[in-house]
Amino acid sequence: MNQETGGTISEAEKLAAFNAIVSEYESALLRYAARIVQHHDAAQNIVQDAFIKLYRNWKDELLPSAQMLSWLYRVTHNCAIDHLRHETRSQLLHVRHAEQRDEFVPPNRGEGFIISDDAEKAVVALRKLTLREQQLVVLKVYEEKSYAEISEITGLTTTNVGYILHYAMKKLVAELKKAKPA
Amino acid sequence: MKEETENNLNGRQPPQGGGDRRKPDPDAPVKIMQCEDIQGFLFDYISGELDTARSNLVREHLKKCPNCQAAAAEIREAMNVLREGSEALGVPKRLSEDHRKHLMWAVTHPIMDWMDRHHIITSLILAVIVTLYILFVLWHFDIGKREDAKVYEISIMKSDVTNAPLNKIEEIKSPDITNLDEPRPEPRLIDPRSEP
Repeated sequence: MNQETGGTISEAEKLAAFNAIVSEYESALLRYAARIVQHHDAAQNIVQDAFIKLYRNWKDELLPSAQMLSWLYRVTHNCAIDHLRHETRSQLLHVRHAEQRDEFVPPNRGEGFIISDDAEKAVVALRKLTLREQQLVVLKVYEEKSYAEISEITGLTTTNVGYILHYAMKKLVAELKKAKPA
Repeated sequence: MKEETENNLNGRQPPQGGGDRRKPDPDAPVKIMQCEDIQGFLFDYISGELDTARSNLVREHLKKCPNCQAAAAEIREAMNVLREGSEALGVPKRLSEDHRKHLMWAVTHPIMDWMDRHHIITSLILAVIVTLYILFVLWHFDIGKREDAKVYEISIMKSDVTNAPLNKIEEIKSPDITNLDEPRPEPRLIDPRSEP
């Protein structure tokens, strides 16, 4: 009887702790996922999946920590990559075709997703980067993570992080120069 | 000079096998840096990732080099465009009510959530189970099996038989299989002319 009561309380406490973690990190993860997949609804699904994985796989106590946030970023990134891979063939062909023509066709980003010209330019420039470069730029420029934090999230060395970011920024500068009206 | 700098930068190879070409060695003496070196570290400098010594060197170099100043300005502008663009995207701050509900349901009902996620596999497993159940019911209750063992009572009239003599065969009754000890009556030929 005591064990049952103890078990129930423990489960309830775990759920309460989990709820607190969701409230703490959902905003950052949604921002990150939305910038990688460029789709609000997909970002919501991705973050939801990341939290489900956290609940099932996190062995330690459910308390907010830098280690947990890094883990969540990593899982969110993997889920985002899975989402991009599972996009329909027609969408991929459409994007590839647009890239071949060197023009950008805005993807369907869900309802209520209105984007300004400047934002569109930034998205176009970002889209020209590889997924790894996009990930690092998002973490560094948008999320303002240090190289050490990015290294922990991505598993790359800090040297590699700096190297990839250096060339990613060079590409971005070139793309934004091209997009700038003469 | 600028072209030379870009060529030098483009010629840089990524660190191989854990090599640490960009990482400053704290024990190494800090050399006087040229434009090509400076531009390789500009992003690190702008984002505050350089150590104090190198950061001071880059700052001093930027004060007197217009080319590197322009390169730094371009990087800063690119970062600003990205940040402004990001704000304009209007990323949602919270999970929607539906996603939040589904999240809590999924963590408290892991099996149902698994079935929901793997609905094709679940459907196939259910189809196999239903098929096996139907086959079992058919086999167990002998549904569809021919009832050969049942004995029906029949009667044959002589007149139904072609090329038969005038004699009439008396009705042959099927034996009662429940009482096998009772002798079976022999069919009897009767001459209809002898009948009254």
